[in-house]
Amino acid sequence: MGKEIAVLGIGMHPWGKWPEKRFIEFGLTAVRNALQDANLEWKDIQYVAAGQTIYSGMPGLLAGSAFVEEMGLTGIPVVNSFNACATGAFAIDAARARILAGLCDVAICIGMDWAPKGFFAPPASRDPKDVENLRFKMGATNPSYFAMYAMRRMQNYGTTERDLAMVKVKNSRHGLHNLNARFRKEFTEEEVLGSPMVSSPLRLYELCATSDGAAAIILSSMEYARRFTSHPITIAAVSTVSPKYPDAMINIPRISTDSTYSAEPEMNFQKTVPQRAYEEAGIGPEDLSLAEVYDLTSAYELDWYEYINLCRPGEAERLLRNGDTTIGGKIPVNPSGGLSCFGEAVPAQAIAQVCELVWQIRGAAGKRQVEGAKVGLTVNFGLLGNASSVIIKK
Amino acid sequence: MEENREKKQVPLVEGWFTMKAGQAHLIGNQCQTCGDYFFPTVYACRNPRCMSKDLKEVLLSREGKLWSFTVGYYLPPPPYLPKGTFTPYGLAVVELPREKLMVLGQVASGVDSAKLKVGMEMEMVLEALQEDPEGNEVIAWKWRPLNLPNGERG
Repeated sequence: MGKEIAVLGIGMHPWGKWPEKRFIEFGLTAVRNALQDANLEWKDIQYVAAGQTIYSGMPGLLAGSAFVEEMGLTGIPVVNSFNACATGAFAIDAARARILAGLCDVAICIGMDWAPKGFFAPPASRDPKDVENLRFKMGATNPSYFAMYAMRRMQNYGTTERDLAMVKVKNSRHGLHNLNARFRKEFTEEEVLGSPMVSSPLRLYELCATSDGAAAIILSSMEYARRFTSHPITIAAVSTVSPKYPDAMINIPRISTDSTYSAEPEMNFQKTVPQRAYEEAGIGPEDLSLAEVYDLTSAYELDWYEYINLCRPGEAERLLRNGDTTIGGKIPVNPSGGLSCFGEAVPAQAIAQVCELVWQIRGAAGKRQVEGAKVGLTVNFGLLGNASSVIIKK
Repeated sequence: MEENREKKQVPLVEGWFTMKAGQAHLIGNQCQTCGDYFFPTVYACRNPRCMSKDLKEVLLSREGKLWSFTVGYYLPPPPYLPKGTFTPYGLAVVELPREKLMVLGQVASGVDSAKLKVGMEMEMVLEALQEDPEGNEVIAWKWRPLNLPNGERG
């Protein structure tokens, strides 16, 4: 596999809420942890790919540049980019391309975020036709979109309120021993079903919170990695495909879909993203030891089982009820605790998902260890057709 | 007196729908080459297999099928502005059968959300969404069930 690159180090700042802190503080912790993990020094890094954060003014938009300013200027190229929830994976994609092109040997990807409490709100806009602003005027918050898909799932497959609660119960057990998780409390089905309805049919404990946090990953060429180990953990695939016309999904922030008058709808990109990752890595769902999926809601976790082909459409509830996706089951999903236990720190989340796979494959996940973990897949999606899937293997 | 003044009505977005009460339509366009419809209107056909510039403005169907819905129980952040005290509000996505596209909108006020069912026939109405800072009523399209049992109208 000529397209593999190595993971040398990972680091995180725990997820939580620190209204008085700055996003760069979280980044400094995550990067120092990653450097220590890789046994490298800051001056060894040849390229920085950072995700932007939209709540901290200009330094947030130039997050990587603002970060190196505080960490130490070494004269290397720094790219700042934003791709909604997939931001971290696009940073990995950029660093990987540089490494594979031979333009650098070792790079770091950083995602760090400070987020306001409660519903995400749109950035100010001068455009009267900005759908992001218009949908909020109509009250179409992110959970509203999640809820309408959850409603469809219930309608199509008979998903019950108990199934949705069970996803939260499972993930809360997984995240209990994860020191980087924000919510480390075991939930019962009754507690979840007793939580307030936010956007019917979804309740408060079935929706992901907004969090602060940071994650970093150090990547290198295989040749560079062999200085440290003969069998590095590798990135086998990074998929960042976008939707194709006609896209019949009403994903955030759309207020209308494409017309399917002249052609049948294209496969939705939550399916094409992991499919492309499988193709690139030359593996299938049967090869996975674990997966980290984007559980913005409990209902989306069930959708992902089907989108990543762990089962056929409508069978996700059976997998969940059988315990197949619990640690100890056939294919544990979200052993980290997922967004359910982390909340979402947008530009850091896709990197955090990869960090979990690396800890699991190293056998260093402690009480949440998936036994014999060898191959893992992440998948996520966010605003305006941004999604990603990364495959990590030993 | 201020309270007797008729509030000025302004559309949520100029040119996105007709302002005729009772017969409101969204304004879209249709590609004259491939036939696909667009809402909001586009400058050129967005179908990558077509990309024609030959488009005609059309009034979209006022009726369609309820694809999904939700009721929001928490006050959304700005730019959402509740009319008076916040009360739970409905959102619906409706499939337009002729155009084969879906449109999101609020559920019209007064509709009992317990009566909403995926697949039911819906129609478009115009209603105030919020008041703008100048005190104008901002009008938007909303959805309500077309035929409720006992001749109820939403």
